Amino acid sequence: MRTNTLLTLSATALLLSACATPDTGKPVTYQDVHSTGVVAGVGVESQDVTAVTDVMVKDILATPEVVKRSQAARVILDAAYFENESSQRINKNLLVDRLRINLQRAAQGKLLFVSRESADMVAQERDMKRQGVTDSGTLKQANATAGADYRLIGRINSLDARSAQSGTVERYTQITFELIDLETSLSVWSNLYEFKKGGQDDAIYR
Amino acid sequence: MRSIADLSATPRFVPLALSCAVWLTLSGCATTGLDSKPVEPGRIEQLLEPKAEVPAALRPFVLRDQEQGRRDRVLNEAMAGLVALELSQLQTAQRLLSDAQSLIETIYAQNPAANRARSNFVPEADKDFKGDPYERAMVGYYLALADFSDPDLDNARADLRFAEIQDTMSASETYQSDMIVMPFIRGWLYNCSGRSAQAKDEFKAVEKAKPGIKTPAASDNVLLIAEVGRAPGKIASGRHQEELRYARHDDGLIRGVTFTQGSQLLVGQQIEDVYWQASTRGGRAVDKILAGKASFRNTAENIATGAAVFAHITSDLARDAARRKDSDDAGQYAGLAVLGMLVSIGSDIVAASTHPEADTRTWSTLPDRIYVATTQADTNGETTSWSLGFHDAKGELQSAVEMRTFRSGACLLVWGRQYPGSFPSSWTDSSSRHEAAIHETCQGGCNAVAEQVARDASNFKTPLVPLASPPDEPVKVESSTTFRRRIFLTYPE
Repeated sequence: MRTNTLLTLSATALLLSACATPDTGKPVTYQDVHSTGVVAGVGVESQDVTAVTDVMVKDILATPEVVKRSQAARVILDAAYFENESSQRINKNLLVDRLRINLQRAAQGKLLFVSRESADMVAQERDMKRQGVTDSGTLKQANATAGADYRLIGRINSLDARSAQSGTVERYTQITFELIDLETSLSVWSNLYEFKKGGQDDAIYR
Repeated sequence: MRSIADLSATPRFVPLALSCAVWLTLSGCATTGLDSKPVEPGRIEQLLEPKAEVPAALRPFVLRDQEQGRRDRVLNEAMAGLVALELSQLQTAQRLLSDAQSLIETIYAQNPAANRARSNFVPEADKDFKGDPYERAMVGYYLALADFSDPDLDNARADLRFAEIQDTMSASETYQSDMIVMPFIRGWLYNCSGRSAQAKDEFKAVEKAKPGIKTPAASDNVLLIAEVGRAPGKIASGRHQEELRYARHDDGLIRGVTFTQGSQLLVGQQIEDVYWQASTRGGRAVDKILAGKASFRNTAENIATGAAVFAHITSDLARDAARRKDSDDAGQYAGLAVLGMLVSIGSDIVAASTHPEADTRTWSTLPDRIYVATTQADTNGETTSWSLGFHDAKGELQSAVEMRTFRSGACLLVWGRQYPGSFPSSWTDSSSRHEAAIHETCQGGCNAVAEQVARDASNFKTPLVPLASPPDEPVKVESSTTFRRRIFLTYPE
């Protein structure tokens, strides 16, 4: 009798365990920006943004033509001439903003950054000061806004490969950076960062 | 009175209890995959305009997303993104479609939902929807239209590249990456950005794929896009619905389009056949999985039938033995009959719990075909909106709608659809205005549409006969118009 009772209980337990509560999700957690996230694809991700900008900051600061000048070089570093020719939709400001901010912090005055994005805002404020709408502030008035010596240009390129049979997806991504002399058009510094990612979708998606 | 324990003491109770437990387990849990599991409810709601009232046309998608969760998120976001485009809410469309795009791009490896969907006892439709290649490509296409509002057109071009890559999933190399609407629009976008060398490369690719297509001039700053027809359908066929087939649902009555603004009349050329893209995918890896499930079910059904026959024969033998009063034989045959019956019932349960059905979830608001035209226009001043006219194979106007206009610098992208992505329709009828413009321009002698229809049929190898049987929908004839006006309303299914 004990065996049969045991069997009955086991059957009930099997029943209950098979119908266990479905996946109820996960609470929000902070994740390391240098780590591969839970949702991983073959495109540019947060760890790539941090890695590429860290490499570029170090490399620019190791370029004497740019940082070892008698007068600090003025650089425009924004996304205006940074092209995305890849197959991934990306906010280019993620790259250039991190690059500019980290470079500015690390350069400690050896590089000055000219903000062309703020040109209209600055022009409006200067007009108001000169028209007497506002006082002149605490800074000395400049004859003109700052001109720049160099400008960052760059490009994100990608090469995609996919196998219909195996479901393998690969993407080679190449991110190039150049600093262009705004008087001579000479490229005074350039570097690139490249990586290739591949993955295979579950057969159910092929 | 006998207690349950007493009952369980009989030897017959043991297999009975076990078979009941197995049956309950399989029947109760095998289909849980299709039950709604709101793992991350409300994602679409989060992506809509904050603090703004949800438009009526988007409400069904918000509710559906809350109910269906991640399983149908890509489908719901794609359909909602299209509706947001129709409402000219480009930023909302960007958010919805880019979220769908990132889910499509996610590699599903060692994913529990995907693992579950491969099980014999769970239908393929249990997996998170990523769509067929043509549906994934269309996410990129609509995202490119939404991204046109950005001053920088890089992302719009990237979306079109993404779309093109999705099309490389075709099993046959002949049909890989042959969605020429993508390089066509990308070339025009390059022209908008003043990068004519890249534009020429894109148009060369278009001309190589379809020599009959006319590519835009470098000075054409207006691109007009018309989407015509009903979405391709997915049909599960085969004995156990394990084979996926595609069907053209559009009747093909509309075979040409015209664009009018004031007295200006442009005839659109067909640039894409979405049904063709769906139907030329070829064999899928998942088809082998489904065939395996179907085979498993066939085997289980055969075992059930064989065991039932065995049970029937042995029970007859048991009865004969009982009549002969041969109690030993009768007992043995009766035992075998019970065993056969249990095996039959068990196999039947296993067969009924096996789900080889193909996943037929479809983006039902896609068009069947896409038409384009380009022109040069002064975009500085305020201009009247463009009207999109739908014509039959003879060139006769059937209906017309006001088009949406999206601006980026000096370039205009003008977009219209035959069928709305939701109800209520956000497309205003412009039939009278369109008919008047055509009458004024042609003076009753326009053959341009019929000629273009013949060229399109040649470019896309489609016959000029109806494409599919017409759907069962009411046809309303309004006496105030001189032509037959069809009422185009559809709900997302």
